[in-house]
Amino acid sequence: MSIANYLLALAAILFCIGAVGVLVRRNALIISMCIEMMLNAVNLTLVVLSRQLQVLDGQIFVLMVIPVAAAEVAVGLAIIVSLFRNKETVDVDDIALLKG
Amino acid sequence: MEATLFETILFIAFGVVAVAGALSVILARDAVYSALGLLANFSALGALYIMLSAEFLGIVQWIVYSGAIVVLFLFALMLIGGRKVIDQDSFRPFINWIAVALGLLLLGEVGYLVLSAGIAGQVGTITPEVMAETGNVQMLGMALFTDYLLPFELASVLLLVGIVGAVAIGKSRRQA
Repeated sequence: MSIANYLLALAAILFCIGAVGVLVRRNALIISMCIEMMLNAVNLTLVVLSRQLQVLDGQIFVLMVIPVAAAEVAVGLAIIVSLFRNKETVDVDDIALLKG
Repeated sequence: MEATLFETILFIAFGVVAVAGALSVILARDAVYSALGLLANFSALGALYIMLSAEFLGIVQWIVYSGAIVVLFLFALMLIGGRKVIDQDSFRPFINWIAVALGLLLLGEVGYLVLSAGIAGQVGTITPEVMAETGNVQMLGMALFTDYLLPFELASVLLLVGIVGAVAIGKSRRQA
């Protein structure tokens, strides 16, 4: 088994930690941090496979993911800040406006 | 992919830093410590990219993630009032244990797949030696500005939309 398998396992561990964080934490900021971590784990997978299969496409794909993640953080944090301005909380349990 | 002993040690070290950072993101009570854990995680991943002969991506990772995104998170924390977001997590042991169990299940499934299956697929021509000779940045630039020009330009449009959206949402209503 080559070292690439272990790096893929590392990416899986990071992804699962991020997923558990999204489920466990209630703070909207921490949840978006965990989503960033999950995106990064997938990026690691792409880079490892790109190296293992000796093609460049994986790295190009990561270069496309990075702007998406950056735009997501910018918009997401703007939403969280304006939410805090209106509701004085970033706890996602307190923000249940649609829950009858 | 073979690695020398030194490389293996470095892989393990950066992997441990990445996992420790990730764990401190979800375990820290203070959101500032979570942001610092995120910084450790991003930086370790950037180092791993460089070790995987993706030097350009490693540098971009450090600049964009460790630099810009972590600072953005810290700015948002500061605007919200860093201390106010501490201990807002309601303590729900039962649901938390279910979440951890589901996470472990996911890890078991994915981990079994990546550790048992070999990485199959058509192997390309860009070996690390070719990469070292031409240079990672040059190869990425050639691919990006020939084959992948349209996605590249679309990414810049996406960033523009992101900027406009962030400004439009962030503007307070009284000024509008």
